Amino acid sequence: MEPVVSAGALSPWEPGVFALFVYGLLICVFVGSQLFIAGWLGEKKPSAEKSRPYECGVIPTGSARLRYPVPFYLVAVFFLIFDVEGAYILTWAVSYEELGWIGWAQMSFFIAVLLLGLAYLWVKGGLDWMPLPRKE
Amino acid sequence: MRWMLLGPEVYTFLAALGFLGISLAGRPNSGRDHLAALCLSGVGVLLAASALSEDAILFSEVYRVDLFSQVFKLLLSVGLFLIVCICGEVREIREENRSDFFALIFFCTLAMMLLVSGNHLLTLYLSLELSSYSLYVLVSLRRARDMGVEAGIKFFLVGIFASALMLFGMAVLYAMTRTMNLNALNGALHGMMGQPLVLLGVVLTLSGFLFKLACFPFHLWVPDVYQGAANEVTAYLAAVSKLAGMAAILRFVASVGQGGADLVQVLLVFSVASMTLGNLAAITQQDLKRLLGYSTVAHAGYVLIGVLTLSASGYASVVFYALALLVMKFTAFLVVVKVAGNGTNLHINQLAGLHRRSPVLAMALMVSLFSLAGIPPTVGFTGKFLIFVAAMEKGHFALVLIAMANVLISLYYYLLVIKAAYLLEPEGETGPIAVSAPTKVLATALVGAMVLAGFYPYPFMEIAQAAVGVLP
Repeated sequence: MEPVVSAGALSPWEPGVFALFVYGLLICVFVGSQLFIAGWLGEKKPSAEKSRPYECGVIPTGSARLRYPVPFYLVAVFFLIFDVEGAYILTWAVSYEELGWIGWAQMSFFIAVLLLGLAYLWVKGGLDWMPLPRKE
Repeated sequence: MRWMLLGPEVYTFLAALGFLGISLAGRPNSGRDHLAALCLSGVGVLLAASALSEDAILFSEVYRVDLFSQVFKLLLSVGLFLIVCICGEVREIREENRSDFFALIFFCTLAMMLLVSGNHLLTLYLSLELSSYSLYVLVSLRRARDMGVEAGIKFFLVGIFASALMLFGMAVLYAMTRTMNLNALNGALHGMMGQPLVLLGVVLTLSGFLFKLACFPFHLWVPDVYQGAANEVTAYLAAVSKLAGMAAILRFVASVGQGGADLVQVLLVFSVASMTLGNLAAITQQDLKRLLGYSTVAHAGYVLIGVLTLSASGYASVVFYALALLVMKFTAFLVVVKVAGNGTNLHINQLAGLHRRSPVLAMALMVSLFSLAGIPPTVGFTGKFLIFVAAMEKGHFALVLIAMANVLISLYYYLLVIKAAYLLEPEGETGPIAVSAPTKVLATALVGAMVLAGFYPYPFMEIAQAAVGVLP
C-alpha cells in the first residue's frame, strides 16, 4: 500500500503508523470508557445462571459424553462447505474483468455443482431439524 | 475440435451425474440401476479404447493426455466394468443407497482418470482427494453400520494424514523450485536431487501416492478397511483403485526422480518393509479379505521395485504388473463375492469343499491365487519376472533376493487358501453354490486371460513399453 504523502501531516512521524496509533488509542479509550460506565452505572444482580461461562447455549460443565443432536453437526458441516466455496467465488469476483467470459463460465459451472450439492442434501433430508423415523 | 480428447472423462462424469439424478428422484430400483451401470460402463470401455491415441497438453499445461494416461484410462474403464458386473445384488448396501453407490463408484473412477492425466502437483492432489473421498463414503456405506463406519473413519484418518504430509511436501518442492508443473519440475530439479530439502519434498509428496498404493508406511488402513467394507467395495479398492496409484507414482517419480540416488534408497526401504510386513502378517489371517488386504501391501512392495529402478524397462514392468494385478485381484474378489452370497465376510474355513460346491469358482480362485503368488504360466509370474529383470539390470541383486524370499513366504498362505478350497471337507451340509451363466463365462474368461497373458505376454509388454515411452 502507498504511504500517505501529505505536507501538512500532524507530526514528523511516519504518517500511516501515526494514524494507526491514534486509531488504536481512540479504540482503547472508547472500549475502556464503555466498560467503566457499564460497571459504574449498571445494576448488578448476580445469579448462578448469569455467572456461568457462556458457551453457545451449551452447559459448559458436567460430563462431556452427552449424546449431542446430530443436526448441529450437519449444519456446521454444510455451513463450512458453502462458506469455503464462498471464498472461491469472492476471489473470482475480485478479478472477474481479467478472467472474462471463460472465467464466468467456469464459475457458473462451479456454482451449478454447488447448487446440485444443495439440492442433494435437501432432498436427502439433511436440512430436516428432527430425528428421522428409523427405517429398516 | 477433437471431441475424443476428454471423451472418457466427460462421459464418466455425465454417467455419475445421471446416477446422482436417479438418487435424487427417489424410488430406488437396484435392478434398473445395475442394468444402467452395466451399459454405461460397457460403453465407457469402448470410448476409452477409441480415445487411446489422443495426445495433448491442456489447461495451461496442468493436464496431459498421452498414451500413458490413455492406457491407464482404458484399464480403469475395464476395471469399472468388471466391478459393475459383480454388483448385481450388493446386499451389504441398503436399497436406498444403491444409486449413490453407483454414482460414487463412477465419480471415483472419474477422479482416477484425472489422476493418471495430472501434470501438475495440484491436479494430482485434487484428483487424489476426490477419489479418496468417494472411497471413504463407499466404505462407510456398509449395512452393518458399526463395521462400515469404523472402517471408514480409520481409512479417513490415515488418508488425511497422508494428504497433509503430501501437501507439505508439495510446498517444500514449490519453495525450492518455484514451480509445481511436472515438466518444469523435471528441468528445475536437474542436479538438485542431492539436496536434503528436495529429497524431503519428494518423499513427503510421495506419501499421498503410497497411501493410495497401500504401501508401507501408509498400509495401516488396509486390513481393517478391506474387512469392514462391503465385498464389492473391497473388490473395487483392491483391483481398480491401485491402478491409479501406480500410474501417479510412475509419472511423478519419472518426472522428478531422475538422478536421485537417495530417493532410490528410500524407496528400497519402503519396498522391502512393505513386502516383508505384508507377507508375514498375511500368514496368520483367517478372514479372506484381510488376507488379500495384506497381500495387497506385499504387492505394493513388488511394484515399488519396478519404480525404484528409474529406468524405462522398470516402468514398463510396472505398467504390465498393473494390468496383471487388475485381473488377478478382481478374479480373487469375484470368488469372494460369489461364495459369500449374502454379503458377509468370508472366513477361510468357509471355502471348504468349494471344488464340489462350484468347480468354476474353485478353479478361478486357484488360478488367481497362483497368479498372485507368481507361479508360471500365469500372468503374475510374467509380471514379477519383468520387474525382477528390470531390477537386476540396475544391479539391485540383494533386493531381488529379498523379493524372491517373500514370494516363497506368500506361496505358503496362498496354498493354505487353496488347500481349504480343494482338500478340506466342509463341516456341515453345504449345498452347491448357484452361479449364473454370465458369471461362469466371466470367471472362465478371466482364468483364460490370466493363463494366456502368462504364456504370451508380448502384446501387453509392447503396449506397456509404448506407454512409458512418453514419460520423461
